[in-house]
Amino acid sequence: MKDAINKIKMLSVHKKVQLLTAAILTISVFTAIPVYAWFSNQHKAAEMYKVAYPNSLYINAAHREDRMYFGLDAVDVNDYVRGEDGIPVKDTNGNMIPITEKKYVFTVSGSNADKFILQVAHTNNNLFNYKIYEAKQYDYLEGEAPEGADSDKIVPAGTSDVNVIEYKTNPGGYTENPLVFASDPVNKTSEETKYYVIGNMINGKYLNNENNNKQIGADNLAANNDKYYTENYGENTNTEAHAVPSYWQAELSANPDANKQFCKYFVLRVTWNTTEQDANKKKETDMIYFSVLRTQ
Amino acid sequence: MKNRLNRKNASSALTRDELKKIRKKSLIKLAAIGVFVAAILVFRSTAWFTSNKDVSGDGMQMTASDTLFEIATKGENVRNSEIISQADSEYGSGSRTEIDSTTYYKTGSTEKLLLRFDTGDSEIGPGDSGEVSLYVIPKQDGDLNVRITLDIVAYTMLDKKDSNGNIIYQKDENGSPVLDESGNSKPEQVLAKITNDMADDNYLTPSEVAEYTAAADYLKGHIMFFGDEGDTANSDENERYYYKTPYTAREFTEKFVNAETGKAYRIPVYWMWPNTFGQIALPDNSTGQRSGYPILKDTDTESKTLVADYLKANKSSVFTNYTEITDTILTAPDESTNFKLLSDGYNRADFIIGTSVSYFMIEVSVEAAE
Repeated sequence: MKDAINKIKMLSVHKKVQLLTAAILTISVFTAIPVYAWFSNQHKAAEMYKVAYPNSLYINAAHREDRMYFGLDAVDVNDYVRGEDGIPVKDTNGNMIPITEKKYVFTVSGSNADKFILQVAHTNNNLFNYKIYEAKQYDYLEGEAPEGADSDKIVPAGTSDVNVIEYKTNPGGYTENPLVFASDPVNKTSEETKYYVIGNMINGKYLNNENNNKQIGADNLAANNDKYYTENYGENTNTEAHAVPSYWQAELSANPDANKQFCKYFVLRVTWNTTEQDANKKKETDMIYFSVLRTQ
Repeated sequence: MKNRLNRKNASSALTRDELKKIRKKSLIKLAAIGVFVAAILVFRSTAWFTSNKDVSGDGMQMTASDTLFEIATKGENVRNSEIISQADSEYGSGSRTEIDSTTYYKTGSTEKLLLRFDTGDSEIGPGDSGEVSLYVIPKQDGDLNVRITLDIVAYTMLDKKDSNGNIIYQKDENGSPVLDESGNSKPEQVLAKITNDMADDNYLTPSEVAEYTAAADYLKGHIMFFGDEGDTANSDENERYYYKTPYTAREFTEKFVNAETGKAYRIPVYWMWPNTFGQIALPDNSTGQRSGYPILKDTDTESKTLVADYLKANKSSVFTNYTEITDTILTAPDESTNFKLLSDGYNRADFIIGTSVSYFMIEVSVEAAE
C-alpha cells in the first residue's frame, strides 16, 4: 500500500490526472449499472377510459335558486285584489275582486338529458286546482330596459300584466345547483329582478285520478286495487279520502344546448273559488311535491 | 524514465530468488488488473446486451424487460386504443403468447403494455367499476415479490389552437369548414394531459388550468382501488357489498411463493368510482341514508378505517367544499347535517370531473420488491 502511494506521488501531474480520470470513470461504471438495473425492473401497463358527461337534473326555485326559496306562502282564499295602498280594488260594479289564484315559479335544469318526467304529487284537502305552465325569463319590463339591452331580455310588447310574475333573486341562494349558463348567469353578490312570462300549459295527466284533481274516493281506489293506493296504504281502507295523494305526470323534452345543458322555467298556478274547483272545503293544509326523472 | 532506470539498477544487484519474488508480485498485480478490466468488460457487455435487446426511450429512462419477470394481460380488446396512443405512444400491444392454452399479451419488445379487456364499458361515470387484467410471468423459478403502484392520469379534449392562440377549424377535402348539427364550424380537437403547466401548449388562462387540474385531482380522489371482490350476489340484499382490501395508499406488494418460470400469475386489482358518498363511509345504514350497496362490508372495520383515514387525508381531492369539512365531520358522517355537506361536496366534485375530464388512464407500475 505504501509502495502504491509512493508511486502515485512520484507520477507526473499529467499522469496523475489520467489516473484520477480513470478512477472516476471506473467508479461511475459501477454505480451506473445498479441504477440501470433498478430501472430495468420496472414495467408499466395502462388502459384508457372515456369519462361520460355527467347527467344531472336539478329542481330549484326561480332562476335556479335553492329549493328553500320556492316559498308556497299562505293562501287566503277569502282575500281580495288590493292596490298599492293595501285597500281592495273595486270593479266597475263597485264590487271587490276576490283573489282566485297564486303563481309560483320553479326551475328544472340539468345536463346530458334529452327527456325528463316532471311529477307532481299533492293532497286534496282544499281541493285546489293545480296547473303547470311553461315560463320564459326576462330581465326587464317593456319600456324599462336600458339602451342597447338585448331584445331577448325584455318582456315582449303586449304581454298582459296578469301573465308576468316578478321575482327578486336571493344572492346567497345559489348553493345547490352548480350548472353554469353563459346566457343566463347568476349574480351571487347583489339582488336582481327577473320577470317570468307564462306560456303554454303543460299537458300532463293524473295517474290515479282521471277526472283531474277531483276528490279521490279512497274506498273506491282501495276496492279497485289501484296500484298507487296499495303502494302507499297496502290493504288499509280506513284512510281520509282528501289525504290520498294525486299523482300528475308529464314527459318533457329538455332540448339541451351545445354544452349538453338545459334550463327550463315553469309556473305552478294554484286556483280556488272558480268553476275548476269542486268545492271549498276550507281545510288547513295541503302538501305538494315536485320531482323530476330523466328518461332519455 | 528516471524511475525505471533506478529500478533496473537495483534489480541488477538482487539475487535470483529475490528476482523471482518480484516477478511473482507483478504477475499478481497484472492478474488483478486483468480481472478488473474483465469486470468492466462484463458490465459493459451486459449493458450493451440490455440496450440492444429491449431498451427504448430516451436518456436515463432506460427500461428493459430482460429482468426477473415480465408482465402480461389478456382479453379481446384494448380500450380507446387510438386515444391512448395519442396520449403516450410508448404504449404497445406486447407480444402474443400462449400459456396453459390461454392467450396473453406480454411485454416483449415494448416495455409499456396496453391492458386488455373482454367485457365492460369503455365510457364510464360515477357508479362504474372494473378489473385490471394484469399478470406477471416469472423468468426464473422461486419466490417472486413485486410492488405495484397505481396511478390515475387525466386528459381533456381541447380545441386546437394555432401559434397566435386562435382556434383551428376542421376543413373537408375541398377546404370548406366542417359544420356541426347547429351549423357552427367544428374546431379541431387535441388531447391534452392535465398538468399544472398544460397552459403552455394550449393557450389556456391560469383559471382554466386551475379548473382542469382541480377536476383531475377530484378524479384521482374518487377512483378507489381494491385487491379483492366483495359479494354483490348475496341473497340478503343488506349483506351485499362491492370490495375488500382497499389500496388507499395506491401501492401494494404481491408475493408469489415458489413461482415457476413462464407461468402467468394474476395480480388482482379492482377499481371503482363510487356513485354516492353514502356508499363510501357510513358506519352502517341504520339512518337509511345510503343508496346502493356499500363499497366495503359494514363489519370490515379494518378496511373502513383505512378509507376513513384516506378521506381525512385527501379532503381536497374528494370534496369541493373541503374547506368546510373537518375531521370531526368525517368522524360522524351519518349525522344528517354532516351527511348533506359531505354528499353535496362529493357529488359536485363528480360533476366537475364529468365536465372537465374527457379521458383518464389507469397506469400500473410493477417492479421487483424485496
